Amino acid sequence: MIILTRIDDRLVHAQVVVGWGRELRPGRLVVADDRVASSEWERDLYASAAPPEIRVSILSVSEAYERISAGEFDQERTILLVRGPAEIIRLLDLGLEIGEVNVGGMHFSDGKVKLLDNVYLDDDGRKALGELARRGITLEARALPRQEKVILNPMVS
Amino acid sequence: MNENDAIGIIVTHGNLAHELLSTVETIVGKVDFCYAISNADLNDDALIASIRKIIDEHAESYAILFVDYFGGSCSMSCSRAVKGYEKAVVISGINLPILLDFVTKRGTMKPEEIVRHLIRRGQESVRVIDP
Repeated sequence: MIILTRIDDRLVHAQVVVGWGRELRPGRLVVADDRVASSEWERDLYASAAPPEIRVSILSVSEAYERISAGEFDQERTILLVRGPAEIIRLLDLGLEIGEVNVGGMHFSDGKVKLLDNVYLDDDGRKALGELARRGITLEARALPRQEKVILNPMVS
Repeated sequence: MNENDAIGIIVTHGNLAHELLSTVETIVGKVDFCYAISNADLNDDALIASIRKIIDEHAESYAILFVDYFGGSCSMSCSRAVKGYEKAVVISGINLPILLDFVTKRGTMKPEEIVRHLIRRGQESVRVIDP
């Protein structure tokens, strides 16, 4: 079952594997990302970032939707990882039901403005988060599990 | 310029890279062939661009990337950054002895040799100290 849906443009990295991993004890990470899924080299790279006790599935967005909705990960504690809000919108459009999304990392690059420590937005990012809020998704910003949840919905609507 | 010259690029989370370099400099003085990059304020693409900019500015040198942690986002960005570059290598698990050794031995060995040496040095540096 999906125990966490997280937006993090670094996808699989120490903060997720160690920071969240120790708290939530997932058996599996599902990365839903077309770019990474389409390159064997990239898939290997991300797969090597997780310890052996956490299985990693690197899938395109549509394949992730198909396999999640077919119940393939129902018996495992699974963290669903996407690069950005656009991928969540695509999953919703495909028919996935999502209630709350953890906004863990949208890091700085040129042109982005700081909303919170780990959340930098440009126009597209703000619009996409706003769209998620409009669709009733609760957006909570936390880099790590024990930090306080900052609800982003009013900030991006 | 020595044909064995290499540049060091330290890439870590937080301030570790800068602190490692500045600590080395308190021991041996200013080092002009090492660069410190933190991922704190950069997304992956920007980090990769910073690394490549330094490598390209020193195209005639071998580039040794020292990264904090294998499998972390810094490590993955480094792997991406050097993909396709023949004269670059990434070493994970940077510690002070490794960096000190690089700084003091640089130029005295061929790049492949110094990489092997630094890895050995790093591993030997982790030991119980007998009182």
